[in-house]
Amino acid sequence: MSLEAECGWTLLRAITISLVATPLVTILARPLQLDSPRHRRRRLVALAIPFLTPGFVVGYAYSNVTLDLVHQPVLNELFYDLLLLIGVVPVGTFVLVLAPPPPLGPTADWCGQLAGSDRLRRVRSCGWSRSLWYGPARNRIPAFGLMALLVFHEFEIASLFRVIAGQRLTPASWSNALFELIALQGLGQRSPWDLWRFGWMPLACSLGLLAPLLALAWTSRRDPGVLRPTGLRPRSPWEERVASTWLAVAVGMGTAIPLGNLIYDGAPGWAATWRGEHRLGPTLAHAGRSLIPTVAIAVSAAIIAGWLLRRRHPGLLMALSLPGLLGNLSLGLLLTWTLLIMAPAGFGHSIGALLIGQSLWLLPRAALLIVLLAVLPRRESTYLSRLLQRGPTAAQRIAGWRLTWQHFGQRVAWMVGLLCWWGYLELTLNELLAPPEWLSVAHRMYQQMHFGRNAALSSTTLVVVMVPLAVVGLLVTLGRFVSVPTIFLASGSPRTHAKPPEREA
Amino acid sequence: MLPRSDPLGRPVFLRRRVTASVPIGVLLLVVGLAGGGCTPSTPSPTAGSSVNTESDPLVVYCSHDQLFSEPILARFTRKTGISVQVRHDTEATKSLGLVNRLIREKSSPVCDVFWNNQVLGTTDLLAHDLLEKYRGSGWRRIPEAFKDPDGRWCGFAARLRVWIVNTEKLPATVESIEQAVTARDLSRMAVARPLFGTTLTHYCLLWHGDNGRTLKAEHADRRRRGLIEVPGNATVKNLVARGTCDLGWTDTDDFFVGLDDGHPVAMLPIRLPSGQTICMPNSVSIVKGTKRLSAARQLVDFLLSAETEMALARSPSRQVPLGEIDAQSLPAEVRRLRPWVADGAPLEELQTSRAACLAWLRTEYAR
Repeated sequence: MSLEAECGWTLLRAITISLVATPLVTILARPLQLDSPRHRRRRLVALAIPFLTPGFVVGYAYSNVTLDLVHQPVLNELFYDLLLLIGVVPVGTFVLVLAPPPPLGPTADWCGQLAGSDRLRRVRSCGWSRSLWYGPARNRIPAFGLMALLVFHEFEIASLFRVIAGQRLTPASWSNALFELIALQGLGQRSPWDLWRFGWMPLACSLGLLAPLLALAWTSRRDPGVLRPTGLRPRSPWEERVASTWLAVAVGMGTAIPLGNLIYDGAPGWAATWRGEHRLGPTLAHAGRSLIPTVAIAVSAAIIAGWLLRRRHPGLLMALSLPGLLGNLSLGLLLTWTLLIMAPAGFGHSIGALLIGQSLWLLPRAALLIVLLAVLPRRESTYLSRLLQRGPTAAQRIAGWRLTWQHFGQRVAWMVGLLCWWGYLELTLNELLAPPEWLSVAHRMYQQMHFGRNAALSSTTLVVVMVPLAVVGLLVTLGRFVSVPTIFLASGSPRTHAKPPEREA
Repeated sequence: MLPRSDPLGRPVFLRRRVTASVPIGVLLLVVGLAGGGCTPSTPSPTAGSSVNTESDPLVVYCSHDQLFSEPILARFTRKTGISVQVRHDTEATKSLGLVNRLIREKSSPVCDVFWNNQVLGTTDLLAHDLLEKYRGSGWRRIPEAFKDPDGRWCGFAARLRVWIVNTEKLPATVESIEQAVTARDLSRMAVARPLFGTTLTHYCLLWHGDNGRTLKAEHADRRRRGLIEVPGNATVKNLVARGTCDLGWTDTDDFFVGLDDGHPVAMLPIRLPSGQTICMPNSVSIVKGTKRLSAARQLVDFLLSAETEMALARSPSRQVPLGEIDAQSLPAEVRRLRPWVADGAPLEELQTSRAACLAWLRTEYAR
């Protein structure tokens, strides 16, 4: 199949899956908006777990299922589509939950009904297209676009599932087709611009899928932030049932079964795999070393996104997020060739290339998390806690720092932790941009997958999960013994010249 | 008029400048780190340019299984005190893998030694004039058939292309295999897509005999009869081991994974029309432009030594030693493979048929 045909099929799949996903995310978002904080947190965690499970682990765990379906290409394609659906539904749901409610809410609907459709038709600004864009479709279309974009760029599972049975290829995937073209035609070896001949089409498709999200961001840039009625109707029991069933299926199929399968397959061989000095030791060291650049990258992405959001530069934020939204493969290829042409000798092989690439990839996620976790501090609470931090007594200063930690620090820690997790398990950019000494532990996992070393892969996965958990555990324990506020006590000479924030009009 | 102040009493313009400096600082930090990580290089007319120096660790690009190559390289470090940094081939980005990376890095090489798990990619590097000549002690112990006469690459520890057969579905005999492959329905046979790896080597050798005429006809015929083509040899092994397919083409190391997992599998060597087997040694070469030539030579000699060949023969991949070795110390399975290695087709034909074979595959797979 040609690249053009595979690109077309991938686009068709992306649109179809997103069409199925959009009503589903609408149903899932509603209970999230109406739930009590406790239930909401539980649902958010259940929603996020499959999204946080690395795609290549899921693909590998299910590769045996696809082997059994090798003679039924249609079932193989449907199974792949289901895994993609599980992966993208959380993203669409988060978009619906986070985006401001559309300007045309239930009041506008009611007014429209009172006025009557005949009268409305005569008013140009009340046409159906405008009513749709400023009404129910305003957030759903961008959610649809973002989900379709993610499906369009998926290649890790596709490359593991890709089979030709009697000349029939399943699943079609433009990225895999591009890889094959690069291998067969040596694209990019003579001139990086060769890639453009084939790369423009996926890029155009990506921008087309991103367009609704960009339009939403652009038309919302002057949003005054006035609270509008959300237009939420009470949830119905069947919606509740659909949401709960989906979450159970998603956590089960997207995370529990793949990881369970991996552990079940590999656990009997753990002892043999870890025996000897060169097994567990290098894996532990590799996992630990992989965390170091990841933390720097996560922090830099969080700081840049936070600053752009705080200073209200949505245009610049969107422009910087665009490469990351195009997916790690496109971004990696783009940076590889750009650095090869433009950067000074050696830069393309330094850790700088990796820092830039992964920061750009994480930037849109950082921005999303900042909004989702409400990381940007409120002026009033910041003012109060800072006043306390500079209070005359140690108890006040401790209370001030504690308040800052509770209102701001904890959320920042969650955000950086999540960004670190993504960066830690990111494979493609790391593979393309990292110098040998900074290759991530995900490489080790992928190598073991390639050679079918199940016991080793299973034990590596365990180490890969345990190392960040151990670091977090250590930090929490340290935090209990050495109270964070006491660190700042020495520098807290009382200052009383702080002024309260001005009242907003 | 006094400037407006923030809640901490700082003038607003100062706060803005301080806040604006945060992302600028982050960017500077990134660029600074980047600068620290790369050393400007001075191109040398003979050796090209390099971003590394003699005191840095030896950089090895390795496409062999990390599980087995890591202990060997660790042993080298223990023995010589030379530290090694390894980039393994994940195949996550397939064609953007190690060979293409080496070609891309031609003007400022990063890698010192390339340990390839076959010969095909290495001969591509030879064609790009990327390899340094070295005929050391290791090169001398390997037979002529498995090395470049000028010492630009040298083979060691070989694998073979084999038929993998599920013994519960099919008897592992030449006759039953011939019967199965000539059957009308070929949907019970699996092969890896011939665009990469050892299946490409296999195709290049098939191409060589009559300039691809038979290969083209047989390939088209097999696809018409429903042949299953999968991403790699490990998947072929899985399909046959699970009984989804009855037989397939794979490599000996993948076959042994299936056997060790207790699956009902057996193997027979794949023979070319000439009767020769397909033997694929690992290959090692020094990359032109290295600034650590002495360390690179030590590693090449170590990899080509009897000690390394024995270690690879005793590893679960059971690779067959090519140089002189104490045969009695070899595992029984490896001893069984040695006569097949002796029947191996010459490897110098690979590079000549590769370009033509790839041109044809392009028309088949990437129209």
